[in-house]
Amino acid sequence: MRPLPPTQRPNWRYIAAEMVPQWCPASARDMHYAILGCEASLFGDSTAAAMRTSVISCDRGVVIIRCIRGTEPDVETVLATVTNVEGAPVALHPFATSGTIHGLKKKITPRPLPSDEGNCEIGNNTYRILGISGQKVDLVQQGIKQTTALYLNTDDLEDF
Amino acid sequence: MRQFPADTNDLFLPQGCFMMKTADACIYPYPVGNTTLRRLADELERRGFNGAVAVGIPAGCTVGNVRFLSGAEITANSVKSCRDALRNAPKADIVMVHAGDAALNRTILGNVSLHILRGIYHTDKRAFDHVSARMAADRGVAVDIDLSRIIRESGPRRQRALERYREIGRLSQKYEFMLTISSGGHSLTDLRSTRAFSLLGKVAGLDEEQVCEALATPAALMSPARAAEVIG
Repeated sequence: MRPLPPTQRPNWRYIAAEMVPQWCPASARDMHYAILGCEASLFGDSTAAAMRTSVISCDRGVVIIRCIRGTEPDVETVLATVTNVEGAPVALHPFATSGTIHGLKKKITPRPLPSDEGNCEIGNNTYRILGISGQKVDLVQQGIKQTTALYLNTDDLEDF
Repeated sequence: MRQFPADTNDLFLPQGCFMMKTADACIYPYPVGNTTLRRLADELERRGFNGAVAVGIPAGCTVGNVRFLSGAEITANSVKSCRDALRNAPKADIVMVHAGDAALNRTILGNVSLHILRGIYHTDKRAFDHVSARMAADRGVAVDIDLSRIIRESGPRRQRALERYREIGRLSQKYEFMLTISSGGHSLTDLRSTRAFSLLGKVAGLDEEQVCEALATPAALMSPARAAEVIG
């Protein structure tokens, strides 16, 4: 079958969004359904269908989202309303937009994975220490039902 | 990244102080929330803010390039209980009172010295009308647009909040009272960027100019002109 000529293909835009916290264990599929749910909730199914949003990748704290050109502000608004993915609290902060994935990837700086730095005890709770780049430290307690986190800096860790 | 001080007016302020041009009007640092003040400062700076009103901190402070004002949040169902709560509350830079019905709002606006009226989203349709709007404008009280209601809620609750905010935006344009915009964040994941504030503000019926003014309002509330004002 002959491929669709470029003029008849949809004009896609690709948006890169920073995931906070970086260590959020969300898969691209879960992220896709979370974004679609928020889209339908905020703008309705009709507008959501017009945006044709899909998640291309979700890796190392960066999500790449594809949408139809012209709907980027609406998609960014939707991303601001994403609060959790499969029960894990997460925030998405768009930082770059491009017409090609290649162009977008040039704007993404590689982020180091959080380093596991042992455990610490606060009160009766034991937290896993995750060192994020720079001075940031996340304390994570993996419970049966949910993950509890404390977000602090290395200076705060000394205070605790 | 934006350098501070960004304005020549900032040069006349003491070292470590600068004008808060973009401030989140309500956040809850640790121990109320789960993020420490230093980490919040980092995150706020990354998201384009240079100030915030933090509920539960003993006094205003500057961390890095972010200025924090201490905030006291009061929920009361009568003027007397509001005054009592104010008296018992620790001293704060910004006093925020939760809105109630129309009569309570008018009495609070007329008799209590407050800076921000919060929680409009859960009030009755007629709770904040043109009379309250005029009083807020005269007294220099700001009305808060809590974006967490748009971000976290869905369905009828979100629709109700959007309806209230649109009405508040319309009244603000007509009667020229101040607005503030807050994320109401208890956590790092609840914070949003200034761009997101602008986009969500648009959904709530505010134009770009109103959002910019609302982001600068916490600094305006702290201005010496307002501090000299005598109410009641």
